[in-house]
Amino acid sequence: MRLRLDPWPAEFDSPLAIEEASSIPRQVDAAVESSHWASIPPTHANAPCCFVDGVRRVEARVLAGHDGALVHGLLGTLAAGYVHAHDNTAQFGEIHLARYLILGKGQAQPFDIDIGGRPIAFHPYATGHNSPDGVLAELQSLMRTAESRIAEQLASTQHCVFVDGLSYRATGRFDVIGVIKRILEPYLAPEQFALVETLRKGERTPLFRIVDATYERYSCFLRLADPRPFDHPLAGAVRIEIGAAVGIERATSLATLAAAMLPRFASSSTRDPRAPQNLLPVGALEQEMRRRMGDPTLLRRAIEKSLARTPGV
Amino acid sequence: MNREIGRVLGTADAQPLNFWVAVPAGEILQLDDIVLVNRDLRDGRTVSLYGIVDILAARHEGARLDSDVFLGSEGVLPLQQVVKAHVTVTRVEPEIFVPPMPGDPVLLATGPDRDQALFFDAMKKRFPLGLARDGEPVHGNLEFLDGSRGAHVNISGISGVATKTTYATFLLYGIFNSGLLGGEAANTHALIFNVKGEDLLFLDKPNTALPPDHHALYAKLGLTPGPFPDVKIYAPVKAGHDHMLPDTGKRSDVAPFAWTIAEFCKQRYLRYLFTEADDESNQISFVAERVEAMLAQYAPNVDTFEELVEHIIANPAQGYAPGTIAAFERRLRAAVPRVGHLIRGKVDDPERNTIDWRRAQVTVIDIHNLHDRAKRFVIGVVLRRMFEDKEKTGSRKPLAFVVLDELNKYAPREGRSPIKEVILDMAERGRSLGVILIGAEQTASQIERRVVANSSFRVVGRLDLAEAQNNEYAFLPAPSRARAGILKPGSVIVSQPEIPVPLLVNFPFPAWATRPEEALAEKKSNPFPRK
Repeated sequence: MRLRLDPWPAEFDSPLAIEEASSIPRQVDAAVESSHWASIPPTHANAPCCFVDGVRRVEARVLAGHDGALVHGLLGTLAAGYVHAHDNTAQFGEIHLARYLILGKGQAQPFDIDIGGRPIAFHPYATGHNSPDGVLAELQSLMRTAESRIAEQLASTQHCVFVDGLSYRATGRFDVIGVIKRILEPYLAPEQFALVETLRKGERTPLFRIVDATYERYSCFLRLADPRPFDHPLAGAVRIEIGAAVGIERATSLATLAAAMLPRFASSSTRDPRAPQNLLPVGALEQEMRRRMGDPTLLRRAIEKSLARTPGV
Repeated sequence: MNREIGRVLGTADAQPLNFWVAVPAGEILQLDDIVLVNRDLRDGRTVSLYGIVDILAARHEGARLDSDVFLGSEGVLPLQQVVKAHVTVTRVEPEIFVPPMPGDPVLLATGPDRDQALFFDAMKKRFPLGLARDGEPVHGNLEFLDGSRGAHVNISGISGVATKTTYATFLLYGIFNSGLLGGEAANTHALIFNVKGEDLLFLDKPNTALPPDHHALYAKLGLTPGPFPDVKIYAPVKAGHDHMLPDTGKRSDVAPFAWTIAEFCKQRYLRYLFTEADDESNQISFVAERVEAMLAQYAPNVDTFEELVEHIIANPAQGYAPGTIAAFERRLRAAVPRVGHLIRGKVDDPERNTIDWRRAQVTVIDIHNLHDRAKRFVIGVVLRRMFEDKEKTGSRKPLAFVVLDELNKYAPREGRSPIKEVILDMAERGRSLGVILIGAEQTASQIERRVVANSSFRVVGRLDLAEAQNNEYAFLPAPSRARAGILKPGSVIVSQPEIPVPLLVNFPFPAWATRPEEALAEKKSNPFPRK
């Protein structure tokens, strides 16, 4: 048995996280683009495009008592923004930043801190999920909403919008391309999925339709960068999704565009541990958004100071 | 109106005397720009920090690897350009030494604020030093030149770019013609030694090569361009002629100078023939002094210097080892062909042939044709005379300026010599006597320390970069040192006591001829016209 490397460092979740148990049979139509299941060769394209992404950070977990019950909550910051790449320049677009105090049990109250003489407000947000994971999921969903709002706005003016992860599903606009870095399930039958391992840089599988009651979509795998000889053959492959409502023709042209464009933006392992899937503009955007979120130590101190001043038992 | 050009940045320490400024990509801030930050204190007072930009650095923000620049230019990686500027504080008003706060707006200082930053507002009498990079005048405080609080100018720079002596004459022109001397201007004198070429023999001729646009530069400095109005030029007499003719090249209407044997003996000039650096280390100087004393008592009646030498050798000083006497005689004999023609039985016209530095506003003594030994003799004798004349008047004013290039020959760091004594005396006591030395040399590191240390104004032209690393240039911050290596002719860096930062100044093209060709009455047509 020959061992191969999963190129991402161990502190990140594996990009190749296909578990046998999760490989529930999906209803997939692999013949939507072509009846002949074979890799689609790379094309050339250099269109203006946008990359949308969001980040979130828990500044502090909080707890409170309400009617004798424990209320879980968190103080969190999220940011969402985009990079516009066109005419050989890449620029940050407007970055949306929001801070929330998310409390379980439907509780909501404002929270203010002060840093350097400037007030910073955490907006109250109530959720019914009263658990540490529940309030965190709420923050994640707020971030997804912020991302999809940006993607939606961009999609009305730009014809090529890439969204990191699965947020595009919430946009309601379908001409947005979701880029999924990690391969969590094969979707395809094993003999079809085998094609993914043979893809070369810039090549993609034909589109397949994922039949899903909540969200019908087209998808394909594409190769961002060729793996090294000792990497697993799936290293450097990503999956993209396009809402089925755009129709197969539009979906095909978007998939072809994505296969042509994305390898150009693939990161190298010298720059990003999650190379090549963590695209260069996305990596830079995350870094920039984290910077805009402020220094976590400073925020934590200010939160502690504010809590210490709050009167009451 | 002061315009905001950036903000104090907070990623580096902002200190009361130096801080960094982030400059937006669209703004242009350049080295030597004068800036101002106002900091409001809690007690209602406002501290103004004035400073000068001495380092500028541009970076890509968001780039981590050197090769990220390629990704940025391919439009793949978003990168942001940022410029940061380092400001060295020149002045704090009122003197409350607090740092500027990160985020404080930084203004480009103009008008009265610029004058404040550079202490021009406090200068009662100021003379032009040149124009700053922003085209505005830079002044020097006359109090640090005229002896009231300091004196002397020292100019260093490699030769061949004609900057040192040109700048020295520019300073003189500014002092004489800016009106700040008032009624004393007519009695203020300058003595200039022309040690190389014929550069300084045409100061009284207008410069035909003066570019027309430089008139505006003079006007900006409050000057009207023109030649020096009142100049007297002396040249050594030609050797081998009984009749006294000046030994010059292209300039003939100059007065020949020489000394009589009687004066040579009476005034004890013999020592200035023994000025090699090692002369003082042996007994020869004692012999020379003994002989001087003898000659002063009784001057022999001889017609030529050669006869005088023979007379001295025929009457040897007593009490010295034969070897010392022999060395003394050998050197004395060697002086005959070098200096002999300058010391004669009689001169044609004592009025015309004696150097009198008070006869004109500017006296130029041409010694470039003389042998090194004769140069030293002339400089030693003339300077001593001048110093003694000035001592006799007992008053500092009117001032007397001395311009002397190649100071390293006359006041070297090592050894002692009678000329060095005179120059050192001038550097140390000249301030109270009103004798101002404008000295120049290629390398300040080779000059007697006290000469340089006594100079209030330190000027640096283009420097050899290795030379710039010497301690003598410690007053130049690192960026200025680097710039000294690339200075163009017409630019110098000037340090003066009140301003903690040396300033780079440009001075206009000389309005007086600095070469025979520039002095031509009319422009000749180009003899080598281009087809």
